[in-house]
Amino acid sequence: MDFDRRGFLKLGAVAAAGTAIGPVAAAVTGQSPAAAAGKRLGMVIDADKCPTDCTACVDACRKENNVPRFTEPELDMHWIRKIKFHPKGVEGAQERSFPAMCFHCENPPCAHVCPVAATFIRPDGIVQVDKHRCIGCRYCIVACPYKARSFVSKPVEPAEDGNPNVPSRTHGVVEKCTLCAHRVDEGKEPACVEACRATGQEAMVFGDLHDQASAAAELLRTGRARQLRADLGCQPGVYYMGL
Amino acid sequence: MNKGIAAVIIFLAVLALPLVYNVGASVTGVSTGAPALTEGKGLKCVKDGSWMKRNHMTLLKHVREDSVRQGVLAGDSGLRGCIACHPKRGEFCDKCHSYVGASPECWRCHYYPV
Amino acid sequence: MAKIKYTRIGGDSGAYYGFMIVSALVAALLPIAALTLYVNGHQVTGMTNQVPWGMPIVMAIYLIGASAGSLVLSAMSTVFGKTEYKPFARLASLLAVLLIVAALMAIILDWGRPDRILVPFFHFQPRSMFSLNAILYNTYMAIGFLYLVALFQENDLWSKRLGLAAVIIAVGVHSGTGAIFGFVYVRELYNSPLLPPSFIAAALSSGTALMIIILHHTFGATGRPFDQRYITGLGRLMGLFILVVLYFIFIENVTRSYAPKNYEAASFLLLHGGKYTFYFWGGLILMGLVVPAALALNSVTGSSVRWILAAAWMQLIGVLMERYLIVIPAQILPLELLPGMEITSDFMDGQYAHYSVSLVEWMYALGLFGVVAFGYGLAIRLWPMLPEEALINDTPSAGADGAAN
Repeated sequence: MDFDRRGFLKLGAVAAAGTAIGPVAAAVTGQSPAAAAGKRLGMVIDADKCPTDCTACVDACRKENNVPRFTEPELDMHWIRKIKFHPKGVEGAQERSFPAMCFHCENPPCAHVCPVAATFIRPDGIVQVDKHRCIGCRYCIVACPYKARSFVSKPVEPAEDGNPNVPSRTHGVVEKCTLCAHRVDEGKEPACVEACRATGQEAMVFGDLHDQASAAAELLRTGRARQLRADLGCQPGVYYMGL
Repeated sequence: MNKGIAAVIIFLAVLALPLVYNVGASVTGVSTGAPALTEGKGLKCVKDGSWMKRNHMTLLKHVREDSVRQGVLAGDSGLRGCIACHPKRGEFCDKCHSYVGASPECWRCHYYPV
Repeated sequence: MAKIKYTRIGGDSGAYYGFMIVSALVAALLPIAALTLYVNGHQVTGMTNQVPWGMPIVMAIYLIGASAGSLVLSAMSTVFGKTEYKPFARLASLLAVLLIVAALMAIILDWGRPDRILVPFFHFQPRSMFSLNAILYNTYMAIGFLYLVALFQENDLWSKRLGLAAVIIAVGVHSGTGAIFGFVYVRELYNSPLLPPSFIAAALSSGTALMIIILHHTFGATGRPFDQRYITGLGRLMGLFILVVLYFIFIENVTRSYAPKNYEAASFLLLHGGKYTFYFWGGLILMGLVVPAALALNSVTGSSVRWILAAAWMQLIGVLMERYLIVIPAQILPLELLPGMEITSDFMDGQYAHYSVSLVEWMYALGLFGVVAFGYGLAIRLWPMLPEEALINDTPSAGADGAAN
């Protein structure tokens, strides 16, 4: 193996050009599109209208999306969950609650750290997990500020009485709230929002945050809605009132 | 050297046997034992049968990418479109797949009654 | 300097066969553990939705660190001009390659879907440290291997060039590995710009410790002449690297502890973290850093091979604990969704998590060590990696021993 300088330079140039082709091609074809300036799907949730012991949204999500249940609480999977809260250090403070799910951020740390773009942003702002591509490295779970994601740590048998319109999952991938993209694409609301409305509480409002005519945008204009951990700069698409 | 060349020729001939067998069968019309699929319920499929036989994986993959990444509804080209006319996987997908020994992992997640 | 003669080891002693059989059996634990993981899912480990990264990742970053440490030591003679270490250049670069291969196995077998191994190679994501590292680790492995080949060919020019390239990319690999955690701005115990450089420092100290142990035992077992001043020289180097590591740990923790918003996180690690606090002060600081540094740099113990070996073992285990303390405690702390509020949920919000290394993960970790040991034993038997003797020539005019530079 006796390289002369010219031969090495030629080889090096070809190798460098070769390595550049992959990323350039990926950037042009394979990378996920950033959220279009048009639609930005999100929610406004009013904690004041959310009864502490109500779990309608959680139950509806589980049923709609066949979310697996595991007996061990530390392995159990959650797409949406009820969070109860009260101020620290205040004696006898009343406990209140709100539902939390993936906030479909505009700068999602999960999508940034995913090595294969299995987590990506759809043009309408929904952050999706492509379970066909997920390698199960769990970097996204580590990076998410809102504990929105779950890893499928046991093999899952599709339930006999499950929802046939939503696929199941293999073990070894990550999943989370999809903002019911399958329903949204057909013009419906997410299952949790529909269930909340059915209880009469109407604590959850879903819509296009960029559409000034939408109910969600109207609530944002009241100035009473805020994001969780806005300081992190992730720009979540779910806002809360009454916190 | 001659022995080597002869060995290579014999090897290539043996390697080509399945191809010759299949081409011969399709030319002469002799059956190879490949299963015949039951007719679907609808009038016609998204594409014709021989195209589908060769390319259904590519079609489904593209539909999947568009559906998952762009939110484009799959309609007739997606799995639910297939189920509408071919309601049983055992008489459709699984028939050819088990004949050729392919086991795609679609069914670990996607609902398609057997 | 006389030309160094490299030969294969005899490899026919009972001790050698015993070593190979034992390391093969231990190495077999890795595929058993990995298969169990693949078939049953991560439920068989201690990893949960709260602590998604466990011992496999700890092992991966540990092996990467050891690999770079070995590589830098190999480059000492080819790149940094310390010709007295030339006899070990091949051995050290062999170890570097074996360790990075084991590290890649550690990473990939821990994925939920390792059967999708080709996917990262077709979907490069420039903003993902994992994706960047995939390029860095593989390039590093390739260059390390080519460097080993150049050493074999005794091509001094290319040894120097490839050695330099390997050192440069080793810096990239280590910064990248530290950055995996350092870039995670959500968790206070991860988010630190010091993680990339401190990673390199610990890699150098653990790499030196590994080299001390392997050199001593390999030359001892094969009965080849070996100048003990190599051990004491490397020991002093290890001591200096440890001081750098201590400095980084000190600065990181003091800086972090200064901000009130970090009081809970910092005091978890340093005071209230139960076993994590014990691992930190007892395992890492005392056993892993202070005692080995004292032993290595003290003039009495520093010139005794026995004490240096003890210090090296303590250092090796200590750095493993350091990697553990990088990965795990940050996941134990609850995420603050609503600062100032107490939160609870069915998803364990607001709670400190729990993690303990499961049997499968112990098998996984031991199996990785077994793979490296078996590969090493095989390589020195199959190829002339080992110099027939490693003696330092004392030049009468200089009047000083070769190790004291």
